[in-house]
Amino acid sequence: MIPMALAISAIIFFASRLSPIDPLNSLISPDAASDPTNLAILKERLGFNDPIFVQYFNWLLEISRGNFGYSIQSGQPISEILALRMPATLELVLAALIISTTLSLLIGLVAGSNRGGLTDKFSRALAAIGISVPDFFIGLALLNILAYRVSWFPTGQRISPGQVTFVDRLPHLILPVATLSIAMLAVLIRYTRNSVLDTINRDFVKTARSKGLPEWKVMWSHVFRNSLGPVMVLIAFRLPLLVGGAVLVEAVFQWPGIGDTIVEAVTVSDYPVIMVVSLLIAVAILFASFLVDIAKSILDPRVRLGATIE
Amino acid sequence: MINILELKDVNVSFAVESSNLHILRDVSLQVPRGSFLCIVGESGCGKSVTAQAIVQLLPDNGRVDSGSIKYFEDGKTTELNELEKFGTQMRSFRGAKIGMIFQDTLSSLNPAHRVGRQVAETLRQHLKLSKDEAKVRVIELFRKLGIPDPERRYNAYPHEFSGGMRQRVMIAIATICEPDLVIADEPTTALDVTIQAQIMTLLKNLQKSAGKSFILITHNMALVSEVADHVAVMYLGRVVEYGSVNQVLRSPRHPYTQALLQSVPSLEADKKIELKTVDGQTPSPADVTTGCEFAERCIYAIETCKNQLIPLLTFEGNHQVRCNRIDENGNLPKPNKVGINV
Amino acid sequence: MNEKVTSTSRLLLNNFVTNVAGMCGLLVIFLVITAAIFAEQISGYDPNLMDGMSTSLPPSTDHLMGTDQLGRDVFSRVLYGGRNSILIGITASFFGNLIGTVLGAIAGYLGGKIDTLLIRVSEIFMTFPQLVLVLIFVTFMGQGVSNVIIIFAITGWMTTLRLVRSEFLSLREEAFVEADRAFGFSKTRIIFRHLLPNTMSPIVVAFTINTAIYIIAEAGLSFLGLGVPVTTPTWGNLLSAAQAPVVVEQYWWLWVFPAVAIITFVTGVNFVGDGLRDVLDPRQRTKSKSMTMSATLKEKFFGSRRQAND
Repeated sequence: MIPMALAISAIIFFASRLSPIDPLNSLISPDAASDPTNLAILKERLGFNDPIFVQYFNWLLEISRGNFGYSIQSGQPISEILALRMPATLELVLAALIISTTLSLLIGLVAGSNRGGLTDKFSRALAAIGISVPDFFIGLALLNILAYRVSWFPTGQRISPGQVTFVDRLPHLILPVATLSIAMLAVLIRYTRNSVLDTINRDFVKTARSKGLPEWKVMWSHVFRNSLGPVMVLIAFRLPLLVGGAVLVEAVFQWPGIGDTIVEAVTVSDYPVIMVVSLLIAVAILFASFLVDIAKSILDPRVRLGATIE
Repeated sequence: MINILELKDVNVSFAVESSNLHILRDVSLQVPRGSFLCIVGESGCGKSVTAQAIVQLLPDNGRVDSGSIKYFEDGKTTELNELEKFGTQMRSFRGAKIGMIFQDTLSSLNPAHRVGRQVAETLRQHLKLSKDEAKVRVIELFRKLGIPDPERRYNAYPHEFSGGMRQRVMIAIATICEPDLVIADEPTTALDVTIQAQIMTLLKNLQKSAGKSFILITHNMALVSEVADHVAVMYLGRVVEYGSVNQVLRSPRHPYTQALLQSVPSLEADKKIELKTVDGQTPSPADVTTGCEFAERCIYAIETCKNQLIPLLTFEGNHQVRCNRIDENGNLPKPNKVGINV
Repeated sequence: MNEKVTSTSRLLLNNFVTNVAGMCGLLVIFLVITAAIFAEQISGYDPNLMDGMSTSLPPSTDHLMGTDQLGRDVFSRVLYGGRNSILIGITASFFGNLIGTVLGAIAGYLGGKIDTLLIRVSEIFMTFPQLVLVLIFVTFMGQGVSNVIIIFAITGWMTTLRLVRSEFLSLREEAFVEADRAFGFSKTRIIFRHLLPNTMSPIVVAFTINTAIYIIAEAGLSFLGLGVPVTTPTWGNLLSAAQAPVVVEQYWWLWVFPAVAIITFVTGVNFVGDGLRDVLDPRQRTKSKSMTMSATLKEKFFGSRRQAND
């Protein structure tokens, strides 16, 4: 994980040094850059005459101190940009994550336990279509139908004039979250259903039934409970999907988040922004996997350490 | 002799891909109340399927095609195979009146639940006890079954136990509601010989002291001689011989039983005599459709054995055999081929 | 005995022909590709011809799919776009698969340090959201058809590597390989002449499904305006018109038709891929498994996938 984060940031860093745009602009405030003597001194001090590896480590050091540099395009400190835009993306991503995970678990459970039934067929159809439809298209379709034609929802962006609280803003959130959730759902359902199917055939389910337990209890306490573990891990590995999806959804709905930021940055080759955001994404994924590991050990007692009782 | 369970001409088939595998063929056996029945046979002969069929826990593609499975209690007879698989009535049998002990304890116990809870689950399902009341009873049973430090073990997970201890947990699950009939499917096969002995003693004591009826499924003939009151020998889905343990083990009538017993190695046997084997391999249930299943490998077999319905002969003391070649006196003719290594 | 023995390829063909979904998919693909190839003949218009008099017209008998804001006929743009999109998809898939196969063969056969290195590298690529990865590459490589193909190939070889590698790992232990070694065949010979032909089926399936993935990927990328520039129509950059809210609201024909084209074609490809999979690898005949593969490869673009015990 860590090597990955470093590798990505290293690639970008080195590539940015190859770009024609003077990287110095990104590390200092625009005011200081206007004086040429100042510039030369700064150049020396900021280590631009050092070998590239040293520069890279210095950059990392700065990042760890919280100094994220400045955007080439706008001159804004990147930390400000992040602070401004992160909440929007977090809202979107977390909501979609929770909704799609919960729904996929429930649907997967029903589909898996009623093999061949309606829910099963529905989930398979959803999965089949899901991989053939570009996710953002769902967003466009929803927008067109529900926002423009019927005015049930606002047509994009995060906030309308006059809205103050979160509840006010809620209508804005619904379509983007729905789009991202549906996209995730199509992918996750397959795994939850399979996990349930795998679990149903396990021996302890037979034991549970041999106790005379009602089917719902067998399904819930035994099947569902035990299919959660593997599913959690699978879901976690698909978290990056959320990031990719978020970028597109933010574009469709003009949602002012990090996805939008990075698209803009790429359009104008704003390397500093790209580097920081990439590093951020890598770290976020690292963190998320860590959380999943914890969740896994809670769900599966075998993962925890313990002695054998003889 | 009153029976607690009677199987009559039970046929079970499994739907596999596009065909139907006839797994159990006209299986008939009786379990007298308070007795210990062993069902023996080689792997794949349908012993486990019989157990599953009794409690209607066949896999999704399995069905009881015909026959009856009757459970007798205080004047009431229930046809188990007529009940709805997950209905209240059938479920009232499972765990409460018929307990099941499975072979592979590690996979048969839920790895995510503590063992105490898994045992208590049965209790609370049938007896509507509170969590604490159930806990007390479970701990007591643990103690009786020889699980040391039961209060602490109550909160342990299955993977923290050794094989023998896990089997005791399974026995606890099966017996906590004090069912009248306990079915144990090869409970000791995966265990050490010494542990095996412990577990079998446990089971036998349970049976004797509480007057419970037991069905033990095994392929271990030595075990059978130690604990059984009655024996049913199965081959390829059919009960080929049924009788008291003395009848079947001392005077086996069916060629398969005879071969089986002769091939069991014994410590007292003369080392110079070659180990006897039964020639040939067990065919697949798909291959045998008419006649006697054992005909291919039987040293007494003749043409008619392969294509006609094999009669069920009953000798004194309810000693039943399915064979074409046994005469009214219970004797087999001379063998017509050398099938067993002599 | 004059027994007619059907060759393996004949048998496979027979099996495939009876696979309904696969045949439907094949038909769809055939139709779309034909339309794309004969774009000139079918449409009456030059896709780049701007008719100032007929801007933003809805579909009519004159313009089957309407016109865009610059007066260009949408139908012909969809046809030409199809040509480009499909080309990109197939080429990217081909090269990506090539890289993955070669690397996978090396990793699988040689094992040891090289194997570990390749796996680590592929992990780094896979745990990062691929859309962002692609965006990063676009930043310093720029846009354009060939760049897009190259970038897709560089960021998409991982799944094929894993596939080929695992096949090689298992085949390596087979008897015929031992025989080859005993005969003194060189490593390259063993890899290319003996092992590779046996792994063709998953590679072919991967190729099909990857094509679908890349077409959707290109759609997303160009939608953001960061893929193929609008001068070369692709289904993706036709969709980029929908970045403007007014288009989403009023000029539905501008984005619905390209989207439908994508969905139709991609579904067809996926069905063919699944059909091929069923036919070529009977071990994995269950619906759930073939879906898993398609889905995993889908997330390749929008997300990332670590090798979990799927």
